[in-house]
Amino acid sequence: MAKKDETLKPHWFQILLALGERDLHGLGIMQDVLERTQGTMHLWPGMLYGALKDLSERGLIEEVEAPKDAETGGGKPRFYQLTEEGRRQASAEARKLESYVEAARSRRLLEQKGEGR
Amino acid sequence: MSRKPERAKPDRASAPESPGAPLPGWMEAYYRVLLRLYPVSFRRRFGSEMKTHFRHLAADRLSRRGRLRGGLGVLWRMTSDSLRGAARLHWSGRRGQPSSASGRSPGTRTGWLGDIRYSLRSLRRRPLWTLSILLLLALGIGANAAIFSTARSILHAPLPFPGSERLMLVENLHEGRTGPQVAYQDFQDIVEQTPSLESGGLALWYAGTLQHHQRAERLDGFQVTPGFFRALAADFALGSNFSDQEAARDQTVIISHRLWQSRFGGTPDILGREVVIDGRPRSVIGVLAPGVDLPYPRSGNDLWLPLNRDHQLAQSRAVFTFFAFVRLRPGASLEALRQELRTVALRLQEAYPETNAGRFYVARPLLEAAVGDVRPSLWLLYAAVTVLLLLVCANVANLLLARFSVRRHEVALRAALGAGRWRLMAQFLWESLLLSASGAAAGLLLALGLVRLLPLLAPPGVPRLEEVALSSDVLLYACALALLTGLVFGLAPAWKAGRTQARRSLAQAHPRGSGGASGGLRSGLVVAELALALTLTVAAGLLLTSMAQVLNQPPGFRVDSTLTWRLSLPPDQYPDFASILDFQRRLAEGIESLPGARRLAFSTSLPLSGHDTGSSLTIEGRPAVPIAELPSVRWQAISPGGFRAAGIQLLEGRTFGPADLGTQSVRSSNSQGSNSQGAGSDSSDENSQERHLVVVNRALAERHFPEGAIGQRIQLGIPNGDWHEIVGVVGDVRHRTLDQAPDPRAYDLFGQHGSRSFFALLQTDVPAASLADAVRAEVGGLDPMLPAYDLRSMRERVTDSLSGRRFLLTLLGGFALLALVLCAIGVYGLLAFVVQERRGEIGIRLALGARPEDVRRLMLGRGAWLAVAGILLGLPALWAASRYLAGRLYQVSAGDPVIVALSCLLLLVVALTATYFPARRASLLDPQETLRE
Repeated sequence: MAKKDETLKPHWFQILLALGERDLHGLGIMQDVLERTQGTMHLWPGMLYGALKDLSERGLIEEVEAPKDAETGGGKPRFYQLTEEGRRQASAEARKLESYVEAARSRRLLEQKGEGR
Repeated sequence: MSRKPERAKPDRASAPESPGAPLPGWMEAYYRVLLRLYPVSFRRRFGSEMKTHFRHLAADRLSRRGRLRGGLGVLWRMTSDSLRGAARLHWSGRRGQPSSASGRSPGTRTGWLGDIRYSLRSLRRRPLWTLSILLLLALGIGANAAIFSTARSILHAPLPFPGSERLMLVENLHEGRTGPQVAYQDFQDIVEQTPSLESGGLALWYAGTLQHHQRAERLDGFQVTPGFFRALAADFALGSNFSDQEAARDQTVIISHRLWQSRFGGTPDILGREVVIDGRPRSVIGVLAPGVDLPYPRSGNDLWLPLNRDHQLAQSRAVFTFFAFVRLRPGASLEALRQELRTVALRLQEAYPETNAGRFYVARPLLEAAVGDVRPSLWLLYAAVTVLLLLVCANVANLLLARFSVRRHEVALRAALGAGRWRLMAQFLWESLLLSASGAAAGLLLALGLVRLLPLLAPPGVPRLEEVALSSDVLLYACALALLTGLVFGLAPAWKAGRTQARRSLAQAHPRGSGGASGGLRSGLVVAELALALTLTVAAGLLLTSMAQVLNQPPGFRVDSTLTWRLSLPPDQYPDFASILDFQRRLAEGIESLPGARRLAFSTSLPLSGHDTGSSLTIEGRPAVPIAELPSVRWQAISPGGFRAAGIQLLEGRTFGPADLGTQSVRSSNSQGSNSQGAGSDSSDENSQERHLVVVNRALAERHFPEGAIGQRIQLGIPNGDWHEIVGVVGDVRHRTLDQAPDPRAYDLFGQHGSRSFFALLQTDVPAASLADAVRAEVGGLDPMLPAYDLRSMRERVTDSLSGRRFLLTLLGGFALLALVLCAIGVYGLLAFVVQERRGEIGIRLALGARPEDVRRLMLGRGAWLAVAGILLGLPALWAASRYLAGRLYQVSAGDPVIVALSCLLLLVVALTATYFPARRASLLDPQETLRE
């Protein structure tokens, strides 16, 4: 049964995006997202680990062994990687976003910045 | 699709950096507490990583934004993030599997212990939900228990005297009006001729200056006859009551335990020691036991001086200035006493027709006299806080029902597995009883704090505040409340649980399933909440309007730029008016030369000082009447320039000038009821050939001289004195309280009459309070043994006189606000629930072309309907509530249509605002998505 929650929330998408490049642990994901969104998306612990739990339960990501040379700053954090399903949904979302961008471009919202209607 | 093979290794940048500065310990501790909010399984899995994460973030913020801003920011972020995150996890967990992971269904376990264990587990599984219910209950029960125990301690706890239920106050009743005081000789006849009385004694207002160790302190007390302490059966810590000889000699004093401890260090050799009171040595013959004090007419007394039949106020049967305390014989009834008092009074009427015609004596319990005035206010508060508790119960019941509709599936499953109907009901009852019991326990703790807090917040003049305490019957009361609330709001869900039909419920096993039946009950509860909130809102509105009305009344005197204080000159140093006036003149010279001081005046009484004097009025040229039937007026003496200094308006004629005093004869006051010890009774220099002047207020002029008051002549007090010519009419002053209409009042010239104890009133050009220290220094400079006491600006007196009203208004306003918030939560919860339930229907509507506005309007209509139903239900409740308000209102009726209409409007706005958010969510639903569900 499809659930409403399964649409990709913005921060879920960002997490999947971060894991698209390499396996990361929670703190790494946070930093990656923060850099990519130019400091606009903070993943606070409750939000981040809640999302990691949900994403794991939905089979979009899974835990992996920590790489041997990983620097973790103490402790033994869990590392995550994308699953096939996660990759599929992330690219589906990306395509959706891409189509929006196309639409914006065709309506000349992108070229003429600041002149918007 | 395959994963990218060239996965990059985690690099340095993405690894957590070790925090730069160490975090403050409490911050980590706080985050550990926040982590407890998360479900256990989640915490186990992510806890340590979250802590690392937190440390990293916090250290980063602190280093970038500074300790204060960064620290506050981190706290705020972490708190909101944890609350939101934890709530979401609990919420999603709730929609997951029901209870029995172990495979054993708890419904089939035997015994109530199993039920309790299951309930506990089920409550613990939803800590936020449980916590919010506990908080609500603690608030409702705590506030209720606090007000209940306050009311009970004040109104019902016995007074601190043995057999205190037999203590009565005897008062005089004349022409249907009760006066609290009696005449000395009348009372002696009463005690002798009334068989029901065991003993009785009299008390007279007193205040004196205690000089001790080069320090002068003004202390309150009473002059009392030896029978007074006998009647009270007061306990002494040291020494004993006045003997009749001691009372006759008037050289002794009894002091309070408090004074003994604070001024004499509790030394045991206090007995027999000489102390100087009002410049006169007296030996201490007794110290009262701790806590022994009069509850009425004034508490906080430290000095008890002897009183005997030689006192000048004791000479006439027309002077009603003594408070009469009596003790009933064991077994005698109040009814019998009243009968006997009537007989004695009739006898006195016959024997002394001149003073006693039409005069009766009545009795009422001392406790009643002490607390009668605050009873209506306490009941009002208690009623309001009970309404609040009902609201809390409705809210909690709503929360339980909401949860029940989510748990239908679980219930259905347990029913299918063989749990009986009663078993299911018991389950829900246990849960709500556990909740209410814990809520009551928390509430009791809260009440414990509130009861300590209330005396600090309460207005001055509330009797017996220091006796307020939580007692064992409050404990009983809280338990009863807990049981009652538990049963009341446990019953509905339990009933529903019992009626659940397994097959139907399982068929609609979708956890969001439609709990349609409970929707009706929940609406009913919300309507009840709105109705209750309406009564509180209207009550608060009425009190607020009354307060505004009182403040709108012109007081008749200047409130700002006026500093006031009291002085009491000892008789030995100031034997006559000449010395008193000389003192006043020297003081005025000193103080008026202070920068910022403009004009100093003296008066025997001040508005809102709690001090006033009555007198009877005789008018020249009118037929003579017995003293008992003379009209009564308020009386005070005021110095030349006093009207201008006080800002009292001159309407007609003139006021006193300094020249008047020079030509005036100076004579004693013969007015009744003076607080002083007959100041100036030995005044000199009588010259009755002189003209005596008097100024009256508009109320007196209009009542007694409709033809014009100027030039008329009157006598004040017992009609044997001089005729006073009315030279001026001044505006009315609200003397006793701002909300009482002014009485007829006559102003004498201070010096013509007066007393050694008087008020000083200083008109200032600067904020009045800023001159307080300079004034104290000036008074001390003239006479170091003379304290300037009761020193307050007029503004403070006005503020204090309204403190009772303000206290009630603040508490009731707070309750009303809380009630509205609870209502908003209730309406919001219900509508959110409705939207959730009707997702499918709303989806269909939207798919069939309904516009979002239509959906919003549909939902808003539902909210408006709730509010209207609540208002309709609340209006009759208002009528019932209005009697609690009677007497607290001023120039506004309990059913004032404007306030009722405004309150209804406010309720409607609150309901619609609370509806708006769920309505908006409904209108933004994606039809496709809802239809797919």
